[in-house]
Amino acid sequence: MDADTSQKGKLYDKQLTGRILTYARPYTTAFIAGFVVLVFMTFAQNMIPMLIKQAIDRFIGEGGSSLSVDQRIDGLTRLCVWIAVMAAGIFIFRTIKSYLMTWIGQRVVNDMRNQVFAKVLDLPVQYFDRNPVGRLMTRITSDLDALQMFVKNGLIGMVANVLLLIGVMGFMLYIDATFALLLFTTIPVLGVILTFINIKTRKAHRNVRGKQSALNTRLQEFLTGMITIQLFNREGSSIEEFDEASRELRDAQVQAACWDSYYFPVIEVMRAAATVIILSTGGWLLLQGDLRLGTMIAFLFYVRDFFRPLEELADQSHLLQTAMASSERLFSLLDEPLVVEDAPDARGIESFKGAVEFREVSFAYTPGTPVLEQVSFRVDPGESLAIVGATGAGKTSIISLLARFYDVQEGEILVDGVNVKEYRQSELRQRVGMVLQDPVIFSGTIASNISLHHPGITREQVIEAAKYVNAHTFIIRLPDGYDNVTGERGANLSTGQKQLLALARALVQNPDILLVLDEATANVDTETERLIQQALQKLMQDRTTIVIAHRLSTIRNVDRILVMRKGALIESGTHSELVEAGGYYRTLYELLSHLPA
Amino acid sequence: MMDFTFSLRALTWAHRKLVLGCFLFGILTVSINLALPFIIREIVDALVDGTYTQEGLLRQVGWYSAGAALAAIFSLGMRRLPMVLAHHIVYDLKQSVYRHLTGMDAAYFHSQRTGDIMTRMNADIRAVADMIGHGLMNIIRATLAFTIGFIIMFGIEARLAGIMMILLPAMTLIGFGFVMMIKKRYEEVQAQFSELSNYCQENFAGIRLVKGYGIEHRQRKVFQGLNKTYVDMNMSLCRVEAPVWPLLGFLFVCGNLLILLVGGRLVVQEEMSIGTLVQFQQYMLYLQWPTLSMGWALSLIMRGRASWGRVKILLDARPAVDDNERTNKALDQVSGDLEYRHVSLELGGLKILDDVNLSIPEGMTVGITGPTGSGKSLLTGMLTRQLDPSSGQVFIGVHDLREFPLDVLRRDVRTAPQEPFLFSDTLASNIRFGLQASGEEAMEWAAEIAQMTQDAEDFPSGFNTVLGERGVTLSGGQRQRTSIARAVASNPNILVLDDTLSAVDTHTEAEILKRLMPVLKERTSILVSHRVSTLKYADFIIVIEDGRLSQMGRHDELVQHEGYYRELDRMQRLEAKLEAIS
Repeated sequence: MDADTSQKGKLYDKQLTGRILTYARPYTTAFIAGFVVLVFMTFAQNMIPMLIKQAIDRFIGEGGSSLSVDQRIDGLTRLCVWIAVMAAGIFIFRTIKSYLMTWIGQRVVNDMRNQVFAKVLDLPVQYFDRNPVGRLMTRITSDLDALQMFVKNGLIGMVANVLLLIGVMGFMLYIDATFALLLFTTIPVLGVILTFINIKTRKAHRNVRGKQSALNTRLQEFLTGMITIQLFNREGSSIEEFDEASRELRDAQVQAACWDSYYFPVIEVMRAAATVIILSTGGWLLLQGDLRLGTMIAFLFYVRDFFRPLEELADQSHLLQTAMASSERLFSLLDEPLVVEDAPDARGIESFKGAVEFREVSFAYTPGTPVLEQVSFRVDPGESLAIVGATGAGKTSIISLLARFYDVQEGEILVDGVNVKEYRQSELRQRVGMVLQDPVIFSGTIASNISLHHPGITREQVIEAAKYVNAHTFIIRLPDGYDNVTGERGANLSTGQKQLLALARALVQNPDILLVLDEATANVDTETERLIQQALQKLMQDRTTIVIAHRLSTIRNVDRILVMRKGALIESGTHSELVEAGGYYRTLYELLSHLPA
Repeated sequence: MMDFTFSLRALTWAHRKLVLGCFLFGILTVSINLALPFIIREIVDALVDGTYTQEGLLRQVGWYSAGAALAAIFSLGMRRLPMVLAHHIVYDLKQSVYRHLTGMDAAYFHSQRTGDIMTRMNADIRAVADMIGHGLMNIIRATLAFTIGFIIMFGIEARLAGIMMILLPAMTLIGFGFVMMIKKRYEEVQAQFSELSNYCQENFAGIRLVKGYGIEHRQRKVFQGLNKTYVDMNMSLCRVEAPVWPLLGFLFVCGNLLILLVGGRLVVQEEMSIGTLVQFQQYMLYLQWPTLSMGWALSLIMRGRASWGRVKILLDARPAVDDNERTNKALDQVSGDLEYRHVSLELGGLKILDDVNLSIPEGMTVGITGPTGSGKSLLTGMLTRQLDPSSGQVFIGVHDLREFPLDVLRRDVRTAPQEPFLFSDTLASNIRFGLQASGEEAMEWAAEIAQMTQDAEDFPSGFNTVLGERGVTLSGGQRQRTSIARAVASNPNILVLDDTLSAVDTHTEAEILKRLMPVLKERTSILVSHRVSTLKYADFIIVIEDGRLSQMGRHDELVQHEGYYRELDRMQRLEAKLEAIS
């Protein structure tokens, strides 16, 4: 069991609760309204047994014997109308309460969800290198869910139940103090028993969760490795292993079910015990003439209302525990340092001329294993530059650093003569266009994937860009053209088509500096390949461009080539210069020209 | 539909004792709970009449206590047994589904997402079990409570019973109606929620694009919109949901009120005793839960049936490759020359292999190469019947492969794939994976051949080191070598190494091949590879391009001729040169 599924949160943590409450503060009015409604509700709920008592004592039973039948029926009817009014009141108050509870819970979590999402987008790229997307998803789904349950049922529900309990106890005391006090003696007994069962139940359920995740891990592994299992004739033993894990889960669940099933019978027994107390003591008092029948019957009703809040409170303490563990994880995400941050006096950017310079840049993703060492080079405005080299030579890092996904450890990176750390990150990146290796396609339409919802980009510009990069032809062949839905539910685009879209996307933003990761991708047919090539050439014209190149045609067409090997620049020059020099590039070039198409 | 009820019935029948127990405890609990208000009536009436003595009161209260205690014990069983039944059914169903899945062929697993199968084996099976355990049991319990309850009530006072008879079923209907109304809105909320999480997923996974284009603020705004819609939908659900329980509660109070009003009149007119009135009030309270649970149980049954449909799809799938009437049970060994005769393969309308004819005499070592996606792995996959040819035949000796029992075939033909799947178990268990007995010696021998012994010694617990997330993470090369050891360990008659050395460096490759050669020579061996340095060792090499056999010969013959193999050789020489520079 990993940290995400264990629930070892403390039951109550003052600091944590305080911080959760800050999210509730904007809704103080709603809280107060909820409280007022609760008070009314408690009152109305407890009035009903009182009215029933009245009905019995004054009209139905002995007390009515001095009245005529008509008078008794009139009186009874009048009281019944009152009961109906109370019942209607309860209905309205409960509905409002339930609505308010949900509303506050939803609002609070809505605010927090927006905050978490914004925070995640602000986190540095290296955070994503360390944390799988799945874990972030858990934060924004189940952890927030647990918190919502807590705000909804915990914060308000607990208050409501305490209030109900106080209300019912108050009424009981008011009607008959001795009798009431006698019944209250059952509370500690029930409390002790329920707490005991709760501890056992929770332990049993923790055991179930452990076994469940063990079984799921095993099942997942067996299903993914099923072909291997079959090839080695291991079906039988895998069935046995699965059976064992499955049986362990079943036994754990049966045990948990046993503890679960104690819950209601215990309450039933307590309720019966309370009824016995009412009947015996009440009967005895009644025989003495110290108690009226209506009081006894009213108490039979109160006994029900009296135990319900107690049951719910036991349940809610569990919610509280889960929510504490979840909010702890959420807050630690929100407190995550940003590392790559804008300077307080960061500069805005109108546009770049496009001069790029690396000055003795050294960089490592993890300390001790440098990826770049003392790299220096310059790119003039409008110049195009290709960086070539074997995998792991550090080419991609150059692009990531220029876009300031990471900060360098040594040296500096200048754009138009200013260190990139002095610009505002988002504006820097808006002026530096990137075409990534594996194009990301969002759910949406083709058009929205090109414009990225930029309000200033018109449909005409989108189409123009698509035409420019040769994407228009395939787009208009889609059923809904530019409005065709993309993403999981949409049309399946081929890798080549995605790359063309990515090019259109880069172009339409009209960046001053263009960074391209041009990996040779499998599964692109020759025709599309040619289209991508053409588009790339057009994009590079009159624009500062840095291409991480793998295609020979791209390399041949740039102004200058840098050759990298193991984090260092080893050669630089134009294509013909480098071929003539006969060094590393020369061999690389020969190899590339022999790659099978 | 017949099938639906039939096999579920069989499943339930297997646990008939539990089911019987559910019934029994249900009847007992319900009966006692319906009997207890009689005692209350006696007490109240006697108290009102003033005919009571202390002893009489004590006796009645004693009866009441005893009854309540018994009811609690029975109710423990009534609650526990359906849950236990549900867990047993979950277990049985999971077991049958898993057993069934182990018999499915490779194509099936390629076409299914593991996540989908997992969902069916967890959530759907759970829903089926809840349908039987909670759904049916609740309906039975509620039906019992109503039937016995109304018989008693009509026996006592038909007019009051009549009121309840109209009220309670109406409430069940209202409750069920609300459940259905909520269901639709709930599904909408769920859909919006997946929209929301999908959006997060996309943005988190595509964070480099989001940051690279500096569009965080815009994405945030879109998210806020989605989030707001989600909250709005939740509130729209809440508008229906919030009044449900209060309304039902209100109706119950109204029921009580009617009893008080009508019953009170009857008491005043001296047609009924106060005790009886109290008794009816108790019934009203007791029947609350069965009334509401009916609606809930019905919705459980609807959900369970939908889930059962999805589980059935899993259970009904039939493997394309399996032992059948062609299987010759007498064949207990795979040996002889290997021959592909006019073998073609079509997948999803595409011709992957086209009329391949190839004959490999027993004991030969063959190299297979060709561009990515040319069909090499599919060709060798046929040997273990991961798939069968669409047309043509594969023979070993005089027998078509399909005549061998699957377990015999897969015992004698062993494969080490390019991306091997290793289990999160010890290194030793992974190597021993295909052995019948424990085979410590065979394991060590195989590890030695695959150059894994040294690696194992460097691990914290040697061969007993657990692999995977909870243990040591192997490098690509180590994974491949472990896979070679696993394939070799059982000393198979036919050995297929499917590009198994792609992730090891050239030096280690040479070392492994040196030790592997004698092992390869002892059996029919197939080496699929992109590396000339590996292929060189084969007795002869075949080249597959676009599903066809395009070249065949020894290494020194093939480099003499224009074609794929010669290009491959030239490129790899250049690569070596590049490696040597600087």
